[in-house]
Amino acid sequence: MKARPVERYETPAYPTRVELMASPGWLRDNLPPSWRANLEMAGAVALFVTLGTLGCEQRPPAAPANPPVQATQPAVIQVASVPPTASGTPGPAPESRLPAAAVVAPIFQHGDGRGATGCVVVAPPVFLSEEEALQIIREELARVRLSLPQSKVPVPGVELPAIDDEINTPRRSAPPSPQQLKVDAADTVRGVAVEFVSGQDALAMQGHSMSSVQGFDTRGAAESLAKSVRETGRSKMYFGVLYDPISHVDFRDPSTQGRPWEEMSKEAKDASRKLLREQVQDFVQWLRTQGAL
Amino acid sequence: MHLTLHLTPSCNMRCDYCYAPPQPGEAMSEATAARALQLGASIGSGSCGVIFFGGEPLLQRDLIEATVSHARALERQGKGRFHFKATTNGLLLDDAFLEFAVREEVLVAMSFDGVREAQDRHRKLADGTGSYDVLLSRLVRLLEVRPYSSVLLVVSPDTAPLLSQSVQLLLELGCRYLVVSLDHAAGWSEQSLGVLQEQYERLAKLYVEWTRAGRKFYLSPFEVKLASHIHGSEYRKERCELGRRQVSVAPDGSLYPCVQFTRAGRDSAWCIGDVQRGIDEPARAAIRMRAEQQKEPCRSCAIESRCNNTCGCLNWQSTGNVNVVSPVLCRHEQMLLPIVDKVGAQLYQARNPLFLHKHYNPAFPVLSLLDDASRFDGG
Repeated sequence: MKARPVERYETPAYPTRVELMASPGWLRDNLPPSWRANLEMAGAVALFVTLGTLGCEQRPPAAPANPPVQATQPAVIQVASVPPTASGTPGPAPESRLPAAAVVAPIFQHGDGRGATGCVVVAPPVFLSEEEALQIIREELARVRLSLPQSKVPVPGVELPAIDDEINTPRRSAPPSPQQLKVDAADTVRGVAVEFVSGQDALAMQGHSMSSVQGFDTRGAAESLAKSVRETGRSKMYFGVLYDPISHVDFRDPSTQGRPWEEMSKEAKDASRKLLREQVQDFVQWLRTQGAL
Repeated sequence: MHLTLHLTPSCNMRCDYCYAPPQPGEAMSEATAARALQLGASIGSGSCGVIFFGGEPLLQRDLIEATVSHARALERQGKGRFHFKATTNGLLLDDAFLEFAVREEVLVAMSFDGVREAQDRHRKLADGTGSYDVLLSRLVRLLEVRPYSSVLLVVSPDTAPLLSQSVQLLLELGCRYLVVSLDHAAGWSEQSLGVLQEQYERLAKLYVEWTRAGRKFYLSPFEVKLASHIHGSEYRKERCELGRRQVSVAPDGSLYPCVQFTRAGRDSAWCIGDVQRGIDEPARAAIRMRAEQQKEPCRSCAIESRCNNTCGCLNWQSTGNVNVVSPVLCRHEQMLLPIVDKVGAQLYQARNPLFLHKHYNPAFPVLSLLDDASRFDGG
């Protein structure tokens, strides 16, 4: 038996506390029967929930000081709708708030999303895991009371390239087995979906290197994916593609000498977390301009 | 700050999976216990949890009473606030001690492995016979007098097939707070972990049934794993962090970052001070830093933030290194999370009110007590 990392883990189909408390009515409206029958209990719940909500209330993020650069224009395509399922959001948005077609956000550029691992690399990348990233995305979206409770929601019409596991290169001779894109987080009722492109996702989309150095380009992969959704996607949603900013520990910097890797990689990861938050904040601003919030 | 006072290295039972088996040696003195209280009160806000531990702490009942009495005197002088818990095998748990525990608000946690076959397999009396018959009545009495007492159940490869039965028995006996832990030092195989997985799946069904029936209970590790998602980034602060919130005090007054390290002794690298000199902060920080180093196989793991890999004490017990995760823990966490997440999804999608309040309402413990009190008053 050996300890082995889990490469992917699906986001659970129940919300975090931050997400649920964005709609405190949920707790007031779902009292255990014995509490409902007891007026004092119901009153205590109302009091605690109100206090809790006041304590947890967070301001919506301010607009970014520097607007994202090189943002590409959103594209609109006609699509079929995805049937709504159980959702943690306060209730269905009016149908008129849903886009008539898929609307794909530009790639908000915070972090270059590039890195390489291998024998000659002097500035190794530090990656965010899918789960860490989704946590950040959900926390930021919860600030504007947007919960994306569903995961692995298929996007009809968008297929990812298949990778041949045996030779670690994009399959060329045999026709690729299509893999339908399933987005990481979505609210099919309110019509918002987010896909996060991790380092592993980028490898899966762009293929592995045959050399001793493996390059990563999450931003490039995110741009390709957004392009695919624009061109072939058939989902009636506001769609955002975010990517791992990929920060680095640069061993050429003399200040790194003698410092533990764990400490430096934590700093790099924190930097990536901050950049990803900025991506989400831009996405929120963009959703506002689209009338989706 | 929590202080675990190892009152004595002696024990009146011979549980074969014990990570701190009985040893010869002296019990803690009253002076050492008093000095430990002063140390605990001098750290942070002055609020100090004291856990009476052993060996078997009830072998030192007089010392427990003296320590509580000393703590109350310190409180009256405005020198700290204390709360207490005793972790016992139950053999010396009698009405006199329970009366004391109620009067002085000492919580009691009792070890009990469940059905007869499980309890008798490893939890043996000093003469080597099983302890089920002797201890069942003690447990029932404890739950009558202190219904919120926690029960600690250890599961080993050979008792894994009995886990769901054991949990059911304990809940039927009135247990509301049940902590299930793995004997990580045991020889777990893929086969025995497969048996454990089946048992967790059974417990998952029961968890859903009981919650739907409005039964209030705490069942670790299910609650912990639900919290690992629901509490989000806050969960990181709740995870075990070696020596950060809890310090163990050996009978001779030496200090350690967690319970298992006391057996390493005063001259070991795990000793982080003593009650006279206080905590050796550089030594504590060095141990914590070692434990907090990212573990190699965990670096890219998608469930790292929800895993129990930060428990340096457990890592040390199972691999001999605070920073090396055991394959058994790794396999266990990967097995457990999907089962627990299915439970969470089922109950959330059903909008189960008890589930929602238990896991999402930060005031649930208080509200639940109010609810219990009003039921009691009403009937």
